[in-house]
Amino acid sequence: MTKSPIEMDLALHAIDAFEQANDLMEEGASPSELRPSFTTLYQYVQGLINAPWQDFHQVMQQYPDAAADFEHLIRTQAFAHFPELAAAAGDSISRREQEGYLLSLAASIAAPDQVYLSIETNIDLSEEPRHIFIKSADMAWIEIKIPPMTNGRAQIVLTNDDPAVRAFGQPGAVLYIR
Amino acid sequence: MSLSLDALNLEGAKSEALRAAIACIMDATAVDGGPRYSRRVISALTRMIVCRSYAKPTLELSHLIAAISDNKNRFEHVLWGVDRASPTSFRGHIRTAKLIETKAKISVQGITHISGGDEFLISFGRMPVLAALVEFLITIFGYQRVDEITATIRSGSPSMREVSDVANALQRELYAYLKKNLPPAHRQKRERHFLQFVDEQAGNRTGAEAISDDAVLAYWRAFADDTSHDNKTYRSVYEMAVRMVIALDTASERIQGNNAASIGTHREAGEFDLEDVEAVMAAYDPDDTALSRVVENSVDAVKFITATEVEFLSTLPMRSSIERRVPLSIVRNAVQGAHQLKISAALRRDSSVNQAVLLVREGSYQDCLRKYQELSDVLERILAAALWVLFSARHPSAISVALTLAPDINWGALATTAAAENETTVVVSMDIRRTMNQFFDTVPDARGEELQALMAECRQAYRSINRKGFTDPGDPAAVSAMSDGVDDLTALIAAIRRYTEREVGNVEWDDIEREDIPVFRQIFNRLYLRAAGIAAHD
Repeated sequence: MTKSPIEMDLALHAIDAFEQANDLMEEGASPSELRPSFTTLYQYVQGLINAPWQDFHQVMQQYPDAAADFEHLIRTQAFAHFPELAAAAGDSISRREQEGYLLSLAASIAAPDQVYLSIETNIDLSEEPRHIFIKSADMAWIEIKIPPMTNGRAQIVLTNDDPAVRAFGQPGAVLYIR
Repeated sequence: MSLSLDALNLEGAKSEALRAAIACIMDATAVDGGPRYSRRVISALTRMIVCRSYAKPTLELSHLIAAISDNKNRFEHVLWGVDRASPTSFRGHIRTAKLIETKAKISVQGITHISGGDEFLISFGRMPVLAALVEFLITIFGYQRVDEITATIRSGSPSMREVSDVANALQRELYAYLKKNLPPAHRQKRERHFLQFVDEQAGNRTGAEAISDDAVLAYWRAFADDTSHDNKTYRSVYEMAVRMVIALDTASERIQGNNAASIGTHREAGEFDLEDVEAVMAAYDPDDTALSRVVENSVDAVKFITATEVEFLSTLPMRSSIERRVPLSIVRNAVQGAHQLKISAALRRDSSVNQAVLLVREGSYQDCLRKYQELSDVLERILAAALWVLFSARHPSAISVALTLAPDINWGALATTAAAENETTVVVSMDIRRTMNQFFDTVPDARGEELQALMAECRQAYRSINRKGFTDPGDPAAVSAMSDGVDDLTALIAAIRRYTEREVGNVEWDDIEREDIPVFRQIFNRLYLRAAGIAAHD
């Protein structure tokens, strides 16, 4: 029946492959069920978008691949990286210093349930840091937004029970400023 | 061959991870919330995956990474420094990026990676798909792994050999991933059924030659209510025929152009060079036509075309082989195909509809043609307005647009001054710079010389258009987008005119419509009214 079998076969082969490609491109899962794309992670780390997730920690837990990409990304793009403190002097840390940045926690005298997190730097900033990302000792990701800095200084008020305060104090926590 | 249930489940699981990775790339959004990668880019990436034709793209990507990596050995700021991955955005961004001069050279076409005495060009046009490829690799292998593989080419001045080694490493990992995650393609029974039908009716004609307007209509009449194949709508049959024509024509070109099959392929046994398969797929990719490229160019700074215009023009295949082989089916699809969708929507709303709903309005075929022509006129006005913008910015691409819009103008007039200065010259000299200056110094005047009148017309067109990019002739983003988009716009106008004027300019559409109406009414009756128990007669 077929008069040009090779052309016909190649055409049908391509049709089969085309359908396979269409099938792969079919949108099954809704965007909210997908892992965050690398583009989203990059835009977020660069401060181009606000956190596109309601719960950053939960998203990072749900998608370990994305969390690994995020960690590598923040490590390569961070202004400062505060590694684990292997030989910490006490159980809880209240001060960390690295790469020209000093982070310190101080209790509020006026409101005993609050603490101040100070960020100080003597670096001439061409690009302002916007976030502190903390990976706690139990691998939970926490984000703290840094307000605009004045004379190399910014301060954030947190409550004592804020997970960020707890994580900051853990010697095993890793912090990044970006 | 039938698959067991277990095997089917396994196939499903196999494709799930890959499907999720592709969905993740499709979901990547620009800062404004629109897609970062166009449908055309996603299609090209998926084709590359399905056909495993990633050898060249991974080499291009490796050269690109080597060329753009900075003093900190990072490349992301260039690839993700662009919000929407389009050639225009990459061109704009890379021109302003600080690249290391000893290993990267920027030209009109793209970036050239320099290593030793050798050079490798990566065009701006390829960058969107390469950006999608690297994001896909990061998604499936992990960012850290991609970083490890590419480490050697991100620092210093990597040699061509090192770049090629990285490309090979990416290919090896991709091969292993796809072996695990890409299920085999399924045989498409419907297309084979259609081809067999056409072949049996075709007499001496073969391949795409056998697919005609009559064959498309006859197949639909015969199998519209055959539930084993999805042929209920005329549109679905027409679209299948279109795909088969393009696939068969391209397959024939590939086979004839490459009589000696690649080593290792055994065509009689159904083995083909995967590049041939990809080329055939690419040829009928609906996301890669003159229209889709204009749509893509309309996303950023300039709106060449509106959504309503796109919707109507998408009924035109924009490919001469289709227009030549099934010219009438195009209008049948645009009119009757669209009407069939309305019938089924009307029946869903109200099952008591009568026969009147089955008929298209008289003169619909003629109206359809008229609308195509009107849209090509609108687009030509847009092109004229774009010429005014490019002309005002003294952009060199204005000259080729002017030549397209007015090929009959006496361009020799621009050379007159130059020739007069040297009257002993027999051949008129067109000193390029001087000619360009003369062109850009033209004073628009509706009653002046031909070129002056053309520019006056373009200025008038510009003033009459109220679309994004046509309100400030000095906007550099609009100028750049127009210079990138005018070729595709010209191709789109040419494709519409080719069909309306050359292919079907002499068709007596009212006669065709008169013959078609009873045929379509009969089948619509069968499919909708009788099936719903509504009294109907053919």
